[in-house]
Amino acid sequence: MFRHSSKPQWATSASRQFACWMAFGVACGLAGCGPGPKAEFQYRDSTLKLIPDAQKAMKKTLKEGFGTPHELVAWDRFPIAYGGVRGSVSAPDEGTKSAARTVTVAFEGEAGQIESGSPLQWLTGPRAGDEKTASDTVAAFDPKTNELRWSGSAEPTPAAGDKFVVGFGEALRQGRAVYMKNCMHCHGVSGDGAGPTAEYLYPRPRDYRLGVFKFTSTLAAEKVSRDDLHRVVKYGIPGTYMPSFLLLGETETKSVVEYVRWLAVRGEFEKRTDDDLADYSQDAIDDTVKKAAANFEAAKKAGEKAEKLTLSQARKEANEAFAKYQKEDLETALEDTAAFLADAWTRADDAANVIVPSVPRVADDAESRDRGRLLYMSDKTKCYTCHGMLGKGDGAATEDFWKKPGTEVLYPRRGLHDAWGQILQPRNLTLGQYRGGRRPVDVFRRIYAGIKGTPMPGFGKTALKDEEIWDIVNYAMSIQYQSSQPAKANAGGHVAATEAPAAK
Amino acid sequence: MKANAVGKFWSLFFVLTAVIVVAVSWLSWYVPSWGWWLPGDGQAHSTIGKRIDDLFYMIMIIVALTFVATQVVLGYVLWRGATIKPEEKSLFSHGSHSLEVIWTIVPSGILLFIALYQMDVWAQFRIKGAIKDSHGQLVKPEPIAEVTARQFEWRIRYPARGKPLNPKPQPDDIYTVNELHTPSGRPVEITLRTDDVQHAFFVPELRIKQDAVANLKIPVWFDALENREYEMLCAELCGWGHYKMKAKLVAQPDEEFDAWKERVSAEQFDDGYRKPVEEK
Amino acid sequence: MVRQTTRTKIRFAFATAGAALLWMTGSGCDSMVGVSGANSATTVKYRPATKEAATEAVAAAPGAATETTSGEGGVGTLKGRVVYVGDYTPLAPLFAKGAAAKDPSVCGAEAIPNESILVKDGGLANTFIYLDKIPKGATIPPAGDPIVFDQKVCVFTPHAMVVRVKQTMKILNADAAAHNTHTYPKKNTAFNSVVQPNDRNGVDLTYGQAEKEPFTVGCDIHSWMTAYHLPLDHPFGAVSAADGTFEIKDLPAGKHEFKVWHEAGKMVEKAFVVTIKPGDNEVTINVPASKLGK
Repeated sequence: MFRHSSKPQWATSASRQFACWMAFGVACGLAGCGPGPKAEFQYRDSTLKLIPDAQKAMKKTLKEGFGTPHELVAWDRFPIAYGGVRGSVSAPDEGTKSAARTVTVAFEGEAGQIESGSPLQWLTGPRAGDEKTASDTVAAFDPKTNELRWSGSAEPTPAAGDKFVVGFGEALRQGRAVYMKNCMHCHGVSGDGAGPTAEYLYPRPRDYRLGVFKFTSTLAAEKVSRDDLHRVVKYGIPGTYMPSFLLLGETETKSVVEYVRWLAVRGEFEKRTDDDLADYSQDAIDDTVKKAAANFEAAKKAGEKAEKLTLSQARKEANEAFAKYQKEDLETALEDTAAFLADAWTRADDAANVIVPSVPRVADDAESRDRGRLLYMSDKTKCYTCHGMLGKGDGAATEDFWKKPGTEVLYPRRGLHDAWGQILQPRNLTLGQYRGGRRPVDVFRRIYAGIKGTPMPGFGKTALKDEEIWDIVNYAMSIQYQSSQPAKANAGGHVAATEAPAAK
Repeated sequence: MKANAVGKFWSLFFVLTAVIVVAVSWLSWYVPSWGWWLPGDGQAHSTIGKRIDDLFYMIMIIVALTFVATQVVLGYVLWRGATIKPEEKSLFSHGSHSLEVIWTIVPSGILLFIALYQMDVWAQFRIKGAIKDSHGQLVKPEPIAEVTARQFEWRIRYPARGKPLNPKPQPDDIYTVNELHTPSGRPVEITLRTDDVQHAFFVPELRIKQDAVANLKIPVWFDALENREYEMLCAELCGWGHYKMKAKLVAQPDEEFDAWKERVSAEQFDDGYRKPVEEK
Repeated sequence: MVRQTTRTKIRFAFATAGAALLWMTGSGCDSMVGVSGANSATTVKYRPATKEAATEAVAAAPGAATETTSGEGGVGTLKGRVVYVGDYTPLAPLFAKGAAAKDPSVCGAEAIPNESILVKDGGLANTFIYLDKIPKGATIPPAGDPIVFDQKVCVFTPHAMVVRVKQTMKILNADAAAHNTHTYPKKNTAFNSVVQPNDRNGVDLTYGQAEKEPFTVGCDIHSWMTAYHLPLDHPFGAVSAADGTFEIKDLPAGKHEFKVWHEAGKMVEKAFVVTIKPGDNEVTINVPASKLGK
């Protein structure tokens, strides 16, 4: 060292510096391991815009109905297989001391899986809903005599016919674990499609909270079925970031499907209730004040007496109105919503609501494809307005500015949008990419019922006969194999020159 | 004496490290069920894999011998230095020309030997692309599928049963995802592609690893010797979902492979015309 | 440099090795995604389908309603007019005759009008006047015959309509081009179906749920096509005619709070109070232009 350093010796010593860096590295390494923020269900913006009282009621309802990611609430109202084996008491405790806490039961499902220590949940009878029975577990079960002994309080004694579940919530718990490991980083803890990696993806991960899923086998007005979700989890969605989870076990796949359905129910319950409570939101108050001001100005112009409405007055009125609503209508509204969702999700798995072609696939020959092509180009279907003359997904509709539904505002970008407000490219049919599955029946169903949440309409039932849909299927599935020559206008003149996409 | 204690500690520390490394390596080879040695049961399950393993073991032995020898010398030198008596003088050497020549020529010779020795394995895997059957006849691998890696899954396209693989998609092609089926016991070839970033096709138990590079169609051949499932992975960090690119390779006899193709084809060309209850 | 003792040196060696080991094991942890609890234990609490109390309340409610049904005051008819207060200049058509942006051969047969604010003789058309809840003491007749929702020259007719829940709506098409009728309801399931050119039998649509506000109906082929539907579970709603007049029949006597909604200003009046007496009741609803964004 040439000159005297004012720094203390230890700071310049190379070995000490090394130690400092090492310590820094260790600290950084360890910091990465600290617990992240606790997983939480996020609320919709529309919930957070409600007035405080309404917001409180909303959050309370959600918490009671669905819980938190750490304490899930399985609301039996909804058709979700929460897991566990259901059974009922066939003969109650006869009162002998040896038979204390023992009943003869009948199980609906596989009784072989009953293990001692499994939680026991009473659904009906005197034990149901009783605080003392909260920690009931199966002490022993004899499959030969069907005698079930439980551990927990002896009182109250169950009666014959009382229903119970052993191991309730297993599927939901497992579904949550699978979801948090594999799905959450895109689809988000609450299924809002806004997980940590979501912003890097296009198309965006599905937000389940509208209760709408695109690729379904069900009729246009129905929700997605379990089988559909199961397929998507297993085979992924080509052309998107949804990968295949083929190697996930069958039980895991089933339980994660239940969990996704549960999240969808939770999300839609929140959305629908927010819509019900829209009058008690900050936006509504602002609107009222604005309209009142307009009234005031109009009255002043007309020379009439009028009073201005202040923001605080409007707030007070909204609070009062909500108090009244909460007392009189809220319960019914929530009940209606729950009933609607329970019904819709039950119907989704009804085999009667699955689209089944009434005729087998029309032979995939040149004539059929040609008929399909004519239909594709015709004013009867107008497929080309979105999917383009060559099926490249560049139809004239993608050149337009479209209105946001329910408003007078245009979307900032040209092109079609979906129910989630995301820009949407009509499918490019030349790629041979089949997001909803490449089975002919999958494509048939897309055309028959449309794609939910998107501008793709349904053609089934009235607009097109099943044979015609098959012709279009045959044509659409052949586009990939054609050379990219422009489709010739046919003799029938269906492709009018005026329909050229160069309208703008 | 205190300085000696520090020196002794370090010399023992390094010798012990070497002993532990050798012991752990030997144990993990000796007890393959621990899974610390080569993937799976420690054996290669393809012809080329066995040859690769042979190369590996040869190099392993050379390296192990060198390592042990070096560590012995190092340990000795350290110990000797730590226990040196104050009156003893260190030997000062200005370098030895002949020593330099020896330790340049010997490793070069070893490396040259390895380079020449492995050439045939490399050529077989990359250039010849064939193996000899029991009659000594060359068997060219049969192209069975096009494997496309994408973030984050494997999409696989097969020709229809009884047809050759066409570089362009055909209407009767069969598609699967994350599940590569192959006939066992004979060499087959896949065309490796990627839809997006760089991935690597890796079947550890077959010792087959090949990068998938954008805009390239890379042929990869292998023969799975046993009828069973193998793990198939992506061996190139391709993004946040890299870990999801786990798939399976199913090797099965020709008849089963064809039957499987029939089944998948029937499912894929399902027009749904029947009772929905039967559909699955 | 301060002389270090042997012991400190050894300690330092061990500390460094230990820290490195900790670091190596530590960085393998799985909190990369930023949310903890992925693997933590979860409890699942059972919640019965319905609360006992809730079922009772729901069961009791209709009973309470029927009690007051014995309409002591009789029923009245509300006849009224929606008046546009302000200066109105007729809006220019969206597309002149023959200039429609899509399918000019079909949609260009006539000019496409801008129907967002239509005023005739001071009366404001296409205004919804409705009750959002079934009033006490009302008798609800069945939904009635199917109604028609047509599409002519790439314009929906009617532009605004009230429909009863479970009432069949026949969506027709009088044009030589296909339309796809796409609804954007809040409570009902969205409907999105193609209606064939010149389809006079129509596609059926029924709404299963009452809505709180009218919603948009559009066509994804012709971006300008817009209409408004309001499904109600009672008959007490109307849309003002071209001259602004409307009529709601069979209202139980008493005080009612009507909602007044127009597409240009959305909810114009949240609670337009009218006291209905048996017989005819006349009312004028003034809608200042400023409320319609003018």
